[in-house]
This record gives sequence, structure tokens and C-alpha cells, in this order.
Amino acid sequence: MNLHLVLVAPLAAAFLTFFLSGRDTVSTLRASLFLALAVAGFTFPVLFAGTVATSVHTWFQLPVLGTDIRWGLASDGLSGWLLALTSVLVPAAILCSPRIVGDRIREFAAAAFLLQATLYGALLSVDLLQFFAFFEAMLLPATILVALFGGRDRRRAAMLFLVFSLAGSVPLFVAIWYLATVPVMSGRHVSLDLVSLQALVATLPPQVRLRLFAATALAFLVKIPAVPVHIWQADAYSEGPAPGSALLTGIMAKIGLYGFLRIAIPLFPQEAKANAGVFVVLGLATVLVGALLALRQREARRVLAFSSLSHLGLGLAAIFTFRPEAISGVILLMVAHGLSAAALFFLAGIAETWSGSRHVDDFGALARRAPLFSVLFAVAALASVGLPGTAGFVAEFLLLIALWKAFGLLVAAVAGTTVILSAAYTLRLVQKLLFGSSAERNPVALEFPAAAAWAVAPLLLALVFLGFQPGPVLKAARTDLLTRLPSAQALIVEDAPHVAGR
Amino acid sequence: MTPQLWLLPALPFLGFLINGALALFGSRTEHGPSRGLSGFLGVLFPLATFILVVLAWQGLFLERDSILRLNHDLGLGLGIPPVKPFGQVLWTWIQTGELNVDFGFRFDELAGIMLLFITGIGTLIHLYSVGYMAHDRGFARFMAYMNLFLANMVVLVLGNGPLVTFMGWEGVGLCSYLLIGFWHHDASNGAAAKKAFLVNRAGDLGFLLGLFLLWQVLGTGTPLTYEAIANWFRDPAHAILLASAPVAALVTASTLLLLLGATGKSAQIPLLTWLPDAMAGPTPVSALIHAATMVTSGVFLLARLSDVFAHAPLTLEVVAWIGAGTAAWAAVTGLVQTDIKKILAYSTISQLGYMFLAAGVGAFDAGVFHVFTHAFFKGVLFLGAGSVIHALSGEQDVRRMGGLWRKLPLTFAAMFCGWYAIVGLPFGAGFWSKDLILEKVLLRGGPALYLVALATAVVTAVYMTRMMILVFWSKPRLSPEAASHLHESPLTMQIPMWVLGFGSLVAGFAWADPFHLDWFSRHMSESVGPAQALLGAGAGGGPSAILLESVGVVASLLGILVAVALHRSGKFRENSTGPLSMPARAWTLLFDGIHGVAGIWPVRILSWILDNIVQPLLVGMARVFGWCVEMAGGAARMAQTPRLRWNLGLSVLGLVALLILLARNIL
Repeated sequence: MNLHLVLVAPLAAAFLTFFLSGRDTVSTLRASLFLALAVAGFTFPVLFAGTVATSVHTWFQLPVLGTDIRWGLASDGLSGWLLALTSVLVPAAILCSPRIVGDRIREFAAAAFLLQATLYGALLSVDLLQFFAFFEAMLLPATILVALFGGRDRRRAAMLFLVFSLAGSVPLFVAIWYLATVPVMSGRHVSLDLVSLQALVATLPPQVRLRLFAATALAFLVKIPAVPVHIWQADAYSEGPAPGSALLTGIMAKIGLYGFLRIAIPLFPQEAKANAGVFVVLGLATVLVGALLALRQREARRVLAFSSLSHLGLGLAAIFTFRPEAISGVILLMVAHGLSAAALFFLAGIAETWSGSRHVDDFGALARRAPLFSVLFAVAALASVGLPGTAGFVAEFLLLIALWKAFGLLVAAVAGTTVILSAAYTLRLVQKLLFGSSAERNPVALEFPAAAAWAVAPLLLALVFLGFQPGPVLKAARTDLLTRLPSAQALIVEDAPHVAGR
Repeated sequence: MTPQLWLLPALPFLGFLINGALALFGSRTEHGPSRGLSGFLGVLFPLATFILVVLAWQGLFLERDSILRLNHDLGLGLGIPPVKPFGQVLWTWIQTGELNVDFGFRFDELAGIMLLFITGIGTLIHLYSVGYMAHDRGFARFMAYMNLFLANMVVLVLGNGPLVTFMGWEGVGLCSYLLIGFWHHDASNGAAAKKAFLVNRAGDLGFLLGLFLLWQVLGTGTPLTYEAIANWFRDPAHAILLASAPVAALVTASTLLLLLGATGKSAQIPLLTWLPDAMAGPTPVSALIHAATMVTSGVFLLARLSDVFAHAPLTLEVVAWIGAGTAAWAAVTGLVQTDIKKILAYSTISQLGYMFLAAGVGAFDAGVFHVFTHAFFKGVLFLGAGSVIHALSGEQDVRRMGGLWRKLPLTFAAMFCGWYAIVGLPFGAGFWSKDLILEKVLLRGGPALYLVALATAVVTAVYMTRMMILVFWSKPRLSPEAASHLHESPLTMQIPMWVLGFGSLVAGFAWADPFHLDWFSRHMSESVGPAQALLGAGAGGGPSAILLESVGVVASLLGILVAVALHRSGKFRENSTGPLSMPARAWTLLFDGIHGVAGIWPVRILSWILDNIVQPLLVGMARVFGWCVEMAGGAARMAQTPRLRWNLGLSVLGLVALLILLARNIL
């Protein structure tokens, strides 16, 4: 299993798109779809292979400081599922793009492939600076996606996204820079790969560690995003092209949670544990703020944006219980949310091309005018609210259990309001889009592109399959996760003897 | 031999898939998919499920009967062996941490009885729908949703543990949503559907949290199945543990939360506001989902977890008072309604209150028995109401009906049976079950609860008789348009009505103690017997049953007389057409008001504040930050000079500054 091949595949695909025709959109679409599927073909073996890694060697040495920067690729259950999710969403986004990005499919596909490549890099990295390089490189295609193909206010939205992301990653960069200087200060020879870093971090004074942890956490909080650094998100998701927003929320946002699981918590286990309360509160605030704001949005994709905020906030809160249910649940949540949110964004994008507007009141009666679209949208919406029988239910159930076990019934109840509120805003959206009587005004049947149906239906089938058989995803956490970073395993809480004392 | 239990939900689900596909791909054609085919398939799959349930039910007793025969032949004096339930574990569903949930089914006597009438009456109502919905454009879609509902209801009842039940529980909620909002071109139907789903979800959260606490009581090593739960609570070794204060508190909290879930599904105080609105759905939906089956799942859950509830006396007290309060409130509300379906909706809420009351006093079997008889008589009342509405071209206001018994004699006869049963006249289905509940309430719940229940019985007779008078007996007040199209319903609608009408006369004999008929209670004893024995509900004593039954009949007759007298004196105002009077409206919307103050408006206000104050504030701060960055960038541009040496120097200077900063930090 050559992981380098997996990393190079989307890069090669991005490169190859430049040889495609800019005018013949149909053949460009076909060719880029083929490329995307080929990349997926390279990716899926990684998922089935379980834990795999290339050899790690020194990439370069920082001049003067002499710190080693390593290069190596590794994948386990956590990375594997996110890689697979990415590789599924990119072809779906390309399939859904034609009416939305116009005749610039080639450019859209290139940006999507670049985003995919940087995501792959971040997910596979074994070295902190290597990770950071990909983490930052991700901003470029993401910004291009928003700024090049978006709506009227796309420039401002892209700028806001960039400013927030940089504000989040500059402290992380400083933290890495600091860690790189430690060898000079202490006279030791150190490398920045994540395993050796653990030993290094453990020797630092607690105050320093706390600051480094805060800087690292901030970068990931912005990416998820969590309250109060979520401001960029609604604009980016609603101004960007719908398939692009699907990629941003479906996979890029997951890097935030991934960063906590892979980097922030394993490197700073004590700080994470000592400050767990802060993150649980932030996570729960994100759940509630996202849900309450979603109730009032007038644009379909803004509802979906705040819905994503709310769902991922639950994941953030649950990670900091350090419970096995939470780790499994978060991985499943990322997969489930990636699939359902992307499906909803894809479909919302199609609906916008019909009404020529993003305003929910301009839709309506699509159940009559576009039945297949409505069935897919309704199923995606139900998956998003976590109806049993879809993956979202199992994920939310596990996260609530973890929160309850760690912090008691009240915290679980607060988090559980998402069960009610998510139904409230999602059904409101369903009602506005699918139901109502605007059919009388404009009863024309609408043309739902078959390509979009082919893009969305597999995502929904996967959601239902994982709803009944979440085993493969849950198992990924049980067997593979954190094996690379042993110190975090000590955090996983085993059950205290319960009250009945058996 | 274990029957393939998975077939029971799979068959109606297959019906859903086929009819759903027909609806989806036939929607572009001019007339939609073939009604004959859709209707045939839509009834076929529930019927096949019903046959399988009957076969499974018979299979349940094969082994026991053969042992009995052997006992008899060998002349052994052994007692009757217990029935061994069928179980089937399909796959491991959720496995992580200490959690290990199997996806499986369990067919025991409680599930069997529930499934017998759910699929039996379900099939009849599917048949009725073929006639009722014949002219609807969405016929195939309707049959598909109905089949999906049946599949989910089977999962709810058949689940081998609370989490599988929860899957069916939310599934039936979804179908309820889809069917209430079936005519989705009208936004108010959509609003009613959404309300039903949201109120139920509030209950579902309670269900989940209650489940967590229950799991904590059991210890995380115990699998989450009904069998394990029952065994754990029945185990004498756990009696001392259950008596200790912290565990008892935990059990109480857990059952109270589970009760919240049950009140949501069964429309009890406090989560009852959605059921009257749910009448926006087509009438077969009201009959099947919102009268006969889904709304009784709360009672089913209480019976399923009776061993747990038996250890929470406080919760049982709450259950009893919720039941009595709901029964009384809804019966009074039923007095003033003018929409025939709303009258029946409040009647359903009220009858569900009786079932909760029975469970609350520890008579779980009596509660489930009322579920059983109620399915017949409320089913036929709704089907009859649908027939009336169908005949009057959609008229639902009882003030614009009257004298219909001549015009719709068959519908009238069927509804009369339903009326006879619900008011509790002798030997009707409701007579047996309601009087059984009244008896247990007096015995175990005390005089206060008994009086509330008895008064409710009087009021029930009043509002039901009022409805019958206004619809069938009083002078005709039809609109000319409705009168011109007046017609009796087709045979597909008649047959289900006759069967259910007949059932509401005789179903009560399934458990009629004075005749020594105890088929029903015998089959309930495996599931709820131990809990009731613990609560002492099985014990006899108290006033004689005959006396209590006479009191019940007197109450019914009193109610009927009051209704007739009120009608004679013109108190029913059947000739007015205006909206409800102020006090009547206030009483009807009492709980909507409470929900508004306690739930809806706080959420709205909070989200308004977030949207209009907090969010703009944060955006403003982000802007200011952005400007600062831009200005800093501008300054940097000015400082940039074309010379490379300068740039390099500045970089080195910056690096050194950073290093010094960091060095100070570490030393």
C-alpha cells in the first residue's frame, strides 16, 4: 500500500484538468468525473487496509536550529474514514456542479482536486510541520472555491474566511515555531514528528504547555467552527457555490475535529483534560447558538450552515469527555454529517438554480414539481436530524451517552435539545422548500438533472446502511485510533463502578 | 423452530418500497399510477403480515400444548408450563465502549396480542383507504406511507429492547408527520404535521435520557433487552439494592423520563397538544395512527417496562394522576367541539387517559385491555366519521349535519356499535375494559381517582351522545351542496366498518370476569404479572364487581340522559355557525398556551436576540479586526522597499525578535 500514490493522485488529477477543454463542458465533466472516481479508487484500499504507514525520514533540517522536520504518511481508522468520505464527496460535487458553476467546470474540478490533495496531506501527515503545511495550503483552494464561483458577495465572504483562518493559524504557527526552537534552548536534538513531540512537550513547563495548547486549539476551533469564531462560516457557505460549500462543510470542517483528536489532545493530554470544561461549554454553546440561529435564517444555505455548526458543536463537546463512545461517535458523526450535509447542500444548490434565488420563500411546492428531488431532500433532511435508521442517530446517541456519563444528566439534556431544535429548523426548511401551494402560480414540472440524483442517492444509501450497520466505523475507533499516539490512550476513561455496585 | 420474525416488518416495508416507487415514477404520467395495482399491493402486504402474525401466535403455544398433552397422557400432575417467546437476533447494531446493542426481535404474548390487532385492524383500515382515497391524486403515495407506518409499528412492538423499540417509535412519528401533512399544498396541514413531530421529539428526548438512567441502574454489563431488564428487576437478589435510596431515586428519575416519552406518543399531559391538530390528516390516518395503534404505544411501553415502573411508586402515582387529569380535561373539551374529528380526537385523548390511569394504579393488563377494545370502537367511530365526511363531500362541522341515520343507515349502524361500546353500556367492549379500570382504580388508587374517573365516564357519555344526536338524530341542517351529493360509502369502506362495529360489541368478552372469560389476562400474565403481583394489584377484595359495574352503567345512562335533556333544551346550539365561545376556546387551548409560554416563546426570543444582537456584534468585531489587518498590511507595503538587502535584514530582525521573545518565555 503506497500512501504516496494516494496523496499524489488528487494532485495529478488537478494537474490533468488543465489539459481538458474549457469549452466542451460535457466532455470536461465526464473526464473530471473519471479522474475523481480514479482518485477514489486509489483511496478506498487505504480504508480497507486499516492501519498503514510509509517509512518516515527526515524531510529537511531547520537551518540554525537543527530541528528535524520529518516526512511520512500514515493512515488509521480515523484518517481512513475521512479520506474515504472526501473521495466520495469530490465526484459528487463535480456531478452537481454543471448548472451552478456554468462553463467553468474545469476550474471548479481543479480547485476541488487541490482541496482534496491538501486534505489528504493533512490527514496523512505524521509530522506537525508537515501537517501545518497542508493545513495552510488548504486555504488556497478553499478560498478559490468561494471567491471564484460564488454569489454577489463572494469576495467579502472569501476575505472573511481567510482572515479568520489566518487569525486561527498564526498562533498555531507560532506554537510550532516555538517547539522548533526548543532544541536550541535545551541543547537536545529533536524532530517535529508527532510521536517524538509528545516526549518533548511533556518536558516543557506547564504554563508554556498551556499556551501552546491554547494556540493549537484555536486553529482547530476556527476550522470546525465553534462559537465565537464561527462568523466566517455562514457567509462562506451561502456565498460560495453550493457544491463548494458541500465540500467545505462536508470535509474541510472535519479537519477541525480531526486536529483535536490527532494533535491537540494527544500532544497536550493534561491540558486538554484540565480544560475539558471550557471546550464542553464552547461545544454546547455552539450546539445551541447554531440551532437557534438556524431557526431564523431566510436563506436555505444559511440554515444548512448553522445546522452544520450545531451538529459539529456536539462533536466538539463530546470529544472532551475522552470516552470510548465519544471517540467512536465523533468519527461516525463526521462521516454521517459529511454525507448528509453535503447532500443537502448539493440539493439546495439545484433548488437555487430553479428559483434563481437563495431565499426560502422563493421556493415552494417542489414536492409536486420535482418529486424525485423532494424524496432525496426529505431523506437527507431526516438523516440530518438523526432519525433512527440513519447513521446520524447512532452518532448522536453515542455522543449523548458519553456526555451523560462524563458530566451527568443535565449536560446531556442540554446537548439533547438538539434532538428537538434540529427537527424544528430542518422541518421548517423542508416545509418551505417542498410543501405549500406555489404550484398554483407556477405549476410547471421542473427538470431535476439525473447526474445530481446519481450524486446524491449513493450518499443517502450509505447513511442508511451505516444507520443499521455502523460497526465498520465504530470499529475503526476501537482498534486503530490513537495507536500512533499512545499518551492519549491513557485519557480514555473506563467506567467507574456504577451506583448499583455490581 | 424460530419463525423468521424479520419478515413481519419487512413485508409492509416492501409494500412501502413498491408503492413508493409507483408513486414516484408514476407522478409524471397524466393519471398517476394505477389505483387498482396500488390499492391491491397496499392491502396485500398488511394482510400477509397479519396472516404471519396469526401463524406466529399459534406457533407460540405449540410447544406448551404438546407438553400439556404429554402431561395429560402420562398422568403427571405438573402445572402449566410458561410460554417460551420467540426471539431472533439479526445483527450487532451498536458496539463500542461498554455499549453492546443487538438488533433483534422478540415475539411474546404481549407483542403477539398487540400485533394481532395492529395488523388485523391495520389491514381493515388499509382496505377502507382504498375506498376513501380513491379519488386522490396521491393514492399510491398514501398507501406507501400507510405501509411504512405499519412496518415501523411492528418494529416498535416487536423490538427486543428499548433501543429497537425507539427506532420504530421515531419511525411511526415520521409516518405520522408524513400523513398528517399528506395534503401538503395547504400550509396549515404542514404546520400541524410539524407540531406533531416536534412535540413528539420532546418526548423522545425524555425516552432517551430515561433509557440512559435505566442502563445505569442495570449496570453497563447488562444487555439492553427487555428480557434482561425484566429478569434483573425480578431477581430477588436485587431487591435490597432496589430498596436503597440512591438506586430508588435513579429508578424514579428514569421512569419519569420514560413517562415523558410515553406522554408524547400517547398525547397525555403535558405533551398532548399535537393530537387534535393531527386531525388535519386524511381520516383513515386518524383511525389507524391517531386512535387505534400509534397513540397507544405509550401504554404499551409502560406495560413492557412494568417491572421497572413497579419499583417506582412515585412515578406510578404521577402516571395515575396524569391519566385521570388528561381523561377529565379532554372529555370536557370534547363537549364543546364542533368538528366531528376533533370530538373524536379529544375522546381518544380522554380514553388514553383511562389507559394511563389503569397503568398508574398498577393494573397494566387492564390498561392494555382498554387499548385492545378501544382500537375497535374508536376505529369504527373514526371510520364512520370518515364515511360521513365522505358522504357530505368533506363537511366536518357537526352543526351542519343531522338526520343522517336515514340517509346513511349502514354507517349509522356501525357507528352506533362504536357509540354503544364507548359510553359503556352493558356487554359492549368499552363496558368490560372501562369498568375493569374503574374497579382497579377504586381498589388501588383510592376514592379521589375513582371519582374523577367516574365523572369522566358521565361526561364521555354526554359528549358522545351529543355527537350522535347532532350527526344522526337531530333535524337535518345540511348545506344544499352537501345534501345533493349525499351517498352511502362503497363496499371497501363498509366492510371494515362492519367488522370493527361487530368487534366493538364483542371484543370485551376477551376478558369478562363474571363469565369466567380471562383469555386476555392469561396472556398478559407473563409480561406484567410479576409487576402486578409486586404491587398487589392482583388481589381481590373491595366492593363486589357486579355492584361497581352497575355504578358504571348508571353513570353511562346518566350521561346519555343529560345529553338528551341538553339537546331538548337547545343547549347544543346546533343552529349557530360561529366559532367556539371564548371560555370554550380558552379551555381547549389551555395546553397550547402553556407550551407557548414555557417552550416556544423563550426559544423564539432567544433566537431573535442571537440573530439581531449577538451575531451582528460578533460580525462587527470581526470587521474591525479585518480593518486592523488591512491597515497593518498597508503600513507594511509602505515600509517595503525595492531593495532585497532591506527585506532580508528585516526578516532576520524579526526572527531574532521572535527568538528573544520565546527565549524570555522559557527561561
